[in-house]
Amino acid sequence: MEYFVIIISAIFVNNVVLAQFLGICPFLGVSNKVSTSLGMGGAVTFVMTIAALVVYPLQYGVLVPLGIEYMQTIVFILVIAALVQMVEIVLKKVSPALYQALGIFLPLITTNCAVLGIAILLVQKEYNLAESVVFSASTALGFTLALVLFAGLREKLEITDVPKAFKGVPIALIVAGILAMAFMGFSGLV
Amino acid sequence: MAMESSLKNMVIVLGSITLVASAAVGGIYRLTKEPIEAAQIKKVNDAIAQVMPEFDNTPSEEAIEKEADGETVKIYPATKEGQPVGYAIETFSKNGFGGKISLMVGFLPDGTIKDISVISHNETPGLGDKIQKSKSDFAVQFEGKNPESFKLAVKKDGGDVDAITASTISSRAFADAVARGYNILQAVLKDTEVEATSGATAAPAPAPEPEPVPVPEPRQPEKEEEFEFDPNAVKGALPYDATAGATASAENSTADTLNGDTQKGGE
Amino acid sequence: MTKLQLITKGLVKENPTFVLMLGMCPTLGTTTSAINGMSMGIATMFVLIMSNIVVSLVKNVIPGKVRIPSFIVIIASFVTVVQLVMQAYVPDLYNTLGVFIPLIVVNCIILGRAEAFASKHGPFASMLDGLGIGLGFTCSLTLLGIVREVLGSGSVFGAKFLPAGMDGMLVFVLAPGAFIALGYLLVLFNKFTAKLR
Repeated sequence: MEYFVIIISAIFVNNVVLAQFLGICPFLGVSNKVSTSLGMGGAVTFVMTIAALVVYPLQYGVLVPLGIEYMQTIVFILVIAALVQMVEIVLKKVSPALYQALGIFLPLITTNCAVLGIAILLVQKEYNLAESVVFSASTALGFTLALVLFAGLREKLEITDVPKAFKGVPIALIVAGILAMAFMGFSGLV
Repeated sequence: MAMESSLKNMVIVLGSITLVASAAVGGIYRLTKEPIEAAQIKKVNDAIAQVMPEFDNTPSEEAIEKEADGETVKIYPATKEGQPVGYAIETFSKNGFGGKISLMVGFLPDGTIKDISVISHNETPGLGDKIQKSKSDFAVQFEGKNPESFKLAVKKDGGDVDAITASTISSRAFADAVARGYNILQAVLKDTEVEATSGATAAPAPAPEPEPVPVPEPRQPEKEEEFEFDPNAVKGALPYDATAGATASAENSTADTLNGDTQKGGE
Repeated sequence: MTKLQLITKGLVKENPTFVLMLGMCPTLGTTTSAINGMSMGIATMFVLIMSNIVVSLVKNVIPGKVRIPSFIVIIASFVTVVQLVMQAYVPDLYNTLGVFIPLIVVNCIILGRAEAFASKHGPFASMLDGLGIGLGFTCSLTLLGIVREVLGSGSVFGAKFLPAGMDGMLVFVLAPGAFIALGYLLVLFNKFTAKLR
């Protein structure tokens, strides 16, 4: 039951992009096509879930016993950067097409605040290992969901006639606002 | 210009940068450690002062720690001229919308809620953050209520708490935190009661004056305020004032005990 | 580029929010009020200036391949310094801005400036660049904060101008309002700069 609440609230109610404003850069940057946004979502899901598995022992096995919790930011970002590097290498080998499509955005996962943000939130919320993994995975799913929905909307926007000053990011932001409003409807769920 | 990217160079440079950075951050940590602790203590003291009637001791130095759900809940007893005037409890709930909510709840000796102050929270701005008194009147409804008769749960769950519109989760967590504080206080008071009856040493220092009249006096204006606000509060507070009258029923055991102690001290 | 240009370019020409579209997470996440937006901007500006200076000082001894990790370590250290100092002297503000303070480390603006400017210029020019871009970022955040606070809570920098009992349009303080307010500000910005050109 508890896990169910975590999952629902991470995907819908507290959507990482639309309610917590984490990972806005890829949300605006890689959401032109549904296919690329799916790939980005997949990469983030992978990185985020592994990050949770790594961050937990790091926080409670290293930082807390040594009494250097204040080094959290530095340690986490380095670990996440290394993780992303690994994902990049694996993806290059396994799926060159996807690697091509995601282009420069893969290294940018390092500076994707969603990944570091979730790692910090996990510690803040004092989740145990299992909860951490469930929370990260469902947050990443929420990220993918928002990204794919938004990409679908933007594909339509491409062929719509909008005033010149609204073209591009401005109208995209306003659409994102409406999407966020729609997601607020989920807040009654839990 | 830039150095050659040989493995040796890379390891040395990255290693030394990390070392220097860690040393620098460690230094700053040392420097800011005291101010951070001072800021936290100040925050707690401010919160205690806000939720307690006038007191003249240093509650933060007399804190009683109690384990609850894997966390420490702290109870700060406030006294004036040796008489207990209330207990401030640093309590929490992990069920907030954005995680943990920490509250300082002030209870009068009879268990009536005096005031509540939010220490920290991560609730949504504009919705859940209305648990703060500066943002809405949500927390005011608890004032002057005794959890004996006031069920600490939102109305949706069959309690007496009016939830914040569209923030049932935050309201629920808030009520949960207050209830946790109340239950722990009751448990602790029961413990001290046993101690007090078994050994005379545990009884509070006797007040110099024969009659404990001066005690209720400083609280007089507050009582009046509460009277206008909610008659129940005064009913709850009465047994404490009318010491010898002892109209306190069995359900008001806390107040009873404390009054008993007071009387004993007086005689 | 003259020194003055270095400082002022961040305000309009290379405004990190409205032109470069960088650092969107704190832009949207912390601008629930003018004061929050401004504090976030200042915290970011501090990290930006300091990391720019340090990066330009050490750029020659860093091998190309570990450039990015080295920059990240430098930036993260300054972010931690900001965290500690804020916890010590403005704990309430630190709580309000929450997770976005440690997240300065992944703000694309900072790494972007380190990579694009500081690693090619001297420390003084890098400092001015950090100051300029930081000012631009702070101004944008404050502006968005003011707009959202005026519409959402009916106040400016905490001073309420609506009569008692009246509230603003709550939606502007909440998530959707952030997107919509920024969207419309961008439209106005585009209109304005299009005329200038």
